[in-house]
Amino acid sequence: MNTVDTIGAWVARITSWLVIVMASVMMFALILQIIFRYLFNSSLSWSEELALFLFTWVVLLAGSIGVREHMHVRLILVRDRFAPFGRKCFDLFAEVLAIAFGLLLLVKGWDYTVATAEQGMVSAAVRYPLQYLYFVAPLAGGLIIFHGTINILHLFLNNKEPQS
Amino acid sequence: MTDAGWILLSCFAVFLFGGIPIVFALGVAATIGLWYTDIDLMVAVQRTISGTQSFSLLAVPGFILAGELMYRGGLSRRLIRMCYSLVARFHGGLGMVVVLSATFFAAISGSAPATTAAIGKIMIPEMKKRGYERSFATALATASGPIGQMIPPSIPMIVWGVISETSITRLFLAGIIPGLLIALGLMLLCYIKDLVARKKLDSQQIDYAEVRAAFKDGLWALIAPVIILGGIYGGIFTPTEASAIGVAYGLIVGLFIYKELSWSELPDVVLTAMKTTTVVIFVIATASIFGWLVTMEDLPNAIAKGFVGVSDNPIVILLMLNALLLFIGAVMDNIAAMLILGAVLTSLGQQIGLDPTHLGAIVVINFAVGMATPPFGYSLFVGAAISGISVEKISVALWPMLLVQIAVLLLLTFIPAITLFLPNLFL
Repeated sequence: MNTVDTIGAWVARITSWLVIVMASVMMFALILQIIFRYLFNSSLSWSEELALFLFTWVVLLAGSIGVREHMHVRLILVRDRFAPFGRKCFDLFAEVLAIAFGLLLLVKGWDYTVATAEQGMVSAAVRYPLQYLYFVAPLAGGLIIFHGTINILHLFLNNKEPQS
Repeated sequence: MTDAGWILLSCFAVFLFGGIPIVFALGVAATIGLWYTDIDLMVAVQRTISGTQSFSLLAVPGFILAGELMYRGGLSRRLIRMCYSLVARFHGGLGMVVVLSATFFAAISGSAPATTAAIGKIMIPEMKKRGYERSFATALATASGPIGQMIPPSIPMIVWGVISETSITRLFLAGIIPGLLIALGLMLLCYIKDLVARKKLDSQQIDYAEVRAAFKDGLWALIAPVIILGGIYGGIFTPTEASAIGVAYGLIVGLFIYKELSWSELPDVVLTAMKTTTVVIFVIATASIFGWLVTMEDLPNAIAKGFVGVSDNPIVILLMLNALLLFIGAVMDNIAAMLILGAVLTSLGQQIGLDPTHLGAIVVINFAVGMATPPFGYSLFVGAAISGISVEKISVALWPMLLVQIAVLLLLTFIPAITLFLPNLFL
């Protein structure tokens, strides 16, 4: 279990750094866009598309970290009325559905990425190939499955009472 | 309603109350609905991605990051010092400092829990030290949180603007007067409570030297909202660009002027802000699969018709709408609630002839009050976490403050001018 935890922590760390770098570039692009419009009187053609591209990546990647850190908002009114064993069942159900959605992103996201690449679809302004945008779906899907599985292992191995 | 509609809604209800994170409850329920209607599941992925490809939504990470930078850069502490120098001498003065500095912070931050945290972390211990009950201090920081998302910038207003296709700049202006009314009401409450209960005051004298010093030190914190809002309403930049300007401003002030922010903590600031962003935006992404299918099945109009069918009296409908929104806001996350109910609410608004900006203000402000309302409110949770006392104890002290907010809600529902005056004046 320790090895699995170490790998999980490393994956989350690398993902976090990707998020930090991408978010910083995203903000920088927006600031640059304003500077160019007012100081140099010329509109940048790429800043908006770059920022939006990074935005999607940031949200989906950070979403996978959210699975690991139990960050996503859930309604626990019903769950908390149960005894610890019942709560564990609720938590297991939650992880299973997260993994189900991860599978959807992984499998159908990959199909979608491949289909986009085959059709040679490009973005409106910069004309970058759109499969680079869609590729984050299978990637985040895989990460969600990975972290969700580790969470389930913890549910089974850890005898600590689940938090409310 | 069609079979697919029933399957979609019942799956979602089971998942929601089964404690599934809302983001996955929406995504999986919608996927089951798609699968039942034989639509290629690739649509689900496509909707998820396109749900995030909105330039207006980019203002969300911008304002969250700007708020985080300004909080860590020491701007909130200086806002408190300025407010302290002005109102601490009155009856209930310390309580007023909480409300007033939350109102100023609201012009930098667009989120209720962030406002509660920024002010509460400093003021709850301070009020305790001066002999206030911990439960009252915490309740006040909790109740001041919602002002953070009424006074612009406001994250929920951005989200509502995007999902209901209402002008975000108009929505921003609509929240100002209700936010100020609630601030005024809460300050009055502090004053009356103290007048009745406490007899001795520290000092009745205003210390002009301290006022001057506090405002000189805090000047940069006051300029931030002027640049952000002035830029938006002067037509210089869009709300999204304004949020980026806020980030740049927060960086410069925190790093070079107040020097309370160090380069080495920047990665952590960015990561924290992006995690908060994702909690909001990821739900929007999966909700757009859900929303697409729900609209395909024409559920919103059906539900809204049922709602309007209850009574011909618009006042009854509006009262029901407020009660429903308050209840939903009290039991669940407000962004998720907006996404799930967005289409129903806009359809309802059209059927009873409500101005879209007015409707948006009613929705956002009801849900904002829900942030401070037990059992489920982020501001409440943040308050409880800071002070370490239970939600039940805070709730007792919180009720009179919630009544103030509900009174303002009723006012703004039945007097459209409260929300529409400023947007109609400026735009």
